[in-house]
Amino acid sequence: MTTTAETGAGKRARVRVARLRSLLMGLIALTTVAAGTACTTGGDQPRIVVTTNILGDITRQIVGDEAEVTVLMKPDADPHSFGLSAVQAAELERADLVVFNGLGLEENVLRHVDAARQSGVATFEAGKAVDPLTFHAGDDGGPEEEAGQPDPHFWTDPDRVRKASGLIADQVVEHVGGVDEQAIRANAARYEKQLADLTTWMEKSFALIPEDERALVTNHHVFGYLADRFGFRVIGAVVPSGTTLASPSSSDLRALTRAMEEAGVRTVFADSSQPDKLAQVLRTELGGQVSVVELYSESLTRKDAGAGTYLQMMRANTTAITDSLAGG
Amino acid sequence: MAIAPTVRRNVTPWASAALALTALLTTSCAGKHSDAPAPQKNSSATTPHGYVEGAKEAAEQQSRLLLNDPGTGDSRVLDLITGKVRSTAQVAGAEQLDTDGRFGFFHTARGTHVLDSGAWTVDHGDHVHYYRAAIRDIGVLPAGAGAQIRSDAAVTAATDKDGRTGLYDRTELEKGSISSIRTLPGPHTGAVIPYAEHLLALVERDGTAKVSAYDRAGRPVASPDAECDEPRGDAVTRRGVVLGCADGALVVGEKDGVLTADRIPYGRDVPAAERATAFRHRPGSDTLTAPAGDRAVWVLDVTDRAWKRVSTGPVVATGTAGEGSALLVLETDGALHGYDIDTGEEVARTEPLLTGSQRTGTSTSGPTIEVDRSRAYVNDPKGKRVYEIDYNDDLRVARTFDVDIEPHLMTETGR
Repeated sequence: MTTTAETGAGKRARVRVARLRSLLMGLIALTTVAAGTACTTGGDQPRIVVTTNILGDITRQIVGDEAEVTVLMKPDADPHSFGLSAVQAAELERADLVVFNGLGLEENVLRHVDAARQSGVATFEAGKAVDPLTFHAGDDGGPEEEAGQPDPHFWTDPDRVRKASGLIADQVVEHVGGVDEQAIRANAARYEKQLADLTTWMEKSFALIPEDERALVTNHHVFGYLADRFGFRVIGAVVPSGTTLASPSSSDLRALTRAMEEAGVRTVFADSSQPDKLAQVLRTELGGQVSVVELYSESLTRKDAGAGTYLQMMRANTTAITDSLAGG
Repeated sequence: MAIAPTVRRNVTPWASAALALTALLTTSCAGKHSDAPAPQKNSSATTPHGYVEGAKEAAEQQSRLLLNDPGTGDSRVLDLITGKVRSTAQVAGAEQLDTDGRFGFFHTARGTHVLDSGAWTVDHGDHVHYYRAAIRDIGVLPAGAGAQIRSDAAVTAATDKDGRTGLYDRTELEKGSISSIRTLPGPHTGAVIPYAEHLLALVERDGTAKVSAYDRAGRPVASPDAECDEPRGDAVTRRGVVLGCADGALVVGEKDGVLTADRIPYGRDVPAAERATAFRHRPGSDTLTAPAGDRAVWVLDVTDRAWKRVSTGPVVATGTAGEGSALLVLETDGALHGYDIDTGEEVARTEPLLTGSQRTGTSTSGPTIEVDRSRAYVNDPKGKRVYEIDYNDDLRVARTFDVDIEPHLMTETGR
């Protein structure tokens, strides 16, 4: 009990310093700012702030009811582009722990994370801690300009997420005062078991796909880790735009049809505003059956919309990949 | 165990400030603490960047054509993804229709009507985002005929024919309202152009126009020492703002927050009637085109800093996608012609597309060419049609859209 009390006091002191800091950093916009940033704290409950919604779900699985977890990125959003309001930025600086993906993913948020770290907040860069891969060269399925850079999309490999879960549990226990360590460890163990089961299930599913057809022709750039873990080839493709699809020429489709021929598959995993039209056009161009399948990539959806949790997202993608590649 | 990691902050530098401001904090917080909503529960505080109520992010560019018949005032929006046509507010007597990529500006004698086309692109440097939303009327900017309107993400600058410039908050336009920031008395010669967090203007002094610059709030700031004789025409490219001057182009760029100016001279005498003044380019491209009198076209490669003059038939309108693709010229024979920019050879032509006889010139009304990343669009006012051209496939007519108005004015949004 003494520990808890002391933690509470220490926490209040920190909160006050953080408030003042954001106040001064805002060039002391005087009472309005003081009132705005300093008076919205929700009390003394330990606070964890997570940037992306995928890491948010993972962190909540581990933290349970032990602390308040705030996720900055909304469902169905883009981690590369979401930004913070002034209130959220101030909240980052008041957190006990900030969990972020890093490796450049949350472009518009990383400077706020840096600022929080510099003001003494504990931060955990999950991507960096799980032995990241680097992007392949552009002609090898990776984004052209980022070849050789660390690939931040580690969550497509459930083993790395399992590793990250254990590390997040460590971080929570170390930095978030007032939590019940045993409860955190138990939550983490349960979740890690679910992740291990996920990996086993994914392996079994993908085993149904003939080895030479384990190829993802895609305009997503996030499946490098999945490919590496489960033995897929990723073949990057340019998907024709909406206006060209209405009346395409062979040259409009060439990049994509060439990628499919190279991969020897009849499925394109792509975001397209007109997937049916794209499939139809490809069937006309190539003959035979072609399917266009959308996958969840960088964001969870709202609850009950297909990928409300990390486990749902991975199962949905695995089913979609297996059904479309094992079927042919 | 919980204490050690929590005392991790270097408190000292803040301590005195903390003492000094504690009173302020306590006063301003009195009585608020318990019932103040936690920030994460306030959904408006978590609005993601680029989010617009009702807007939907799309996988690809959402291209739309705005069409208007100044005679009847009828306006239409043609969605190039779905092929559907929507009617929008009547705007009669428009002399010109242009866009900043999202908003359509219908220039009439009484003011400039603003329409949100509901399609736009947000450029984040290494990647872009595409959005679509409802089409809506915004209102009228008090800048009448001959006004020139230019925007960046933050500011819309409307310069009237007397050279006065009204600055408007573009983020307010996005929300649906017209909000004036301030007026710059000028007088400015030509358009005031928001660029690189500045506003570029030309101000006439001693018979020549000099480049001057403002910050976004309209305060004068340091500008490059550059002149532009008889300025006419401008275009914004990634390499900088191109201004048409008597002796060639002046390119105002930005490096490390400082504005720079660079000349690309014609390198020969060009009669006034053959100067490049009506610049056209595909947004994102650094290759500009402009008629060079009646029977030739200027192609300005801003990256290579080179002018090229291509001899053509009588010119109605010009355009190019750049990056090695053909120069597109709509000629008085009503056909679209493609020219190899390097050799000047004609490489492709369509059947006549336009109905009725055509005149050369740089009128702001009449048939025009809009070029995007994959297609070009040509309006045939008298034929009540718009053609979609695949410029990478021998100027193949990919689609023909019949509309129920005479589209004398046309511009493309979504980019």
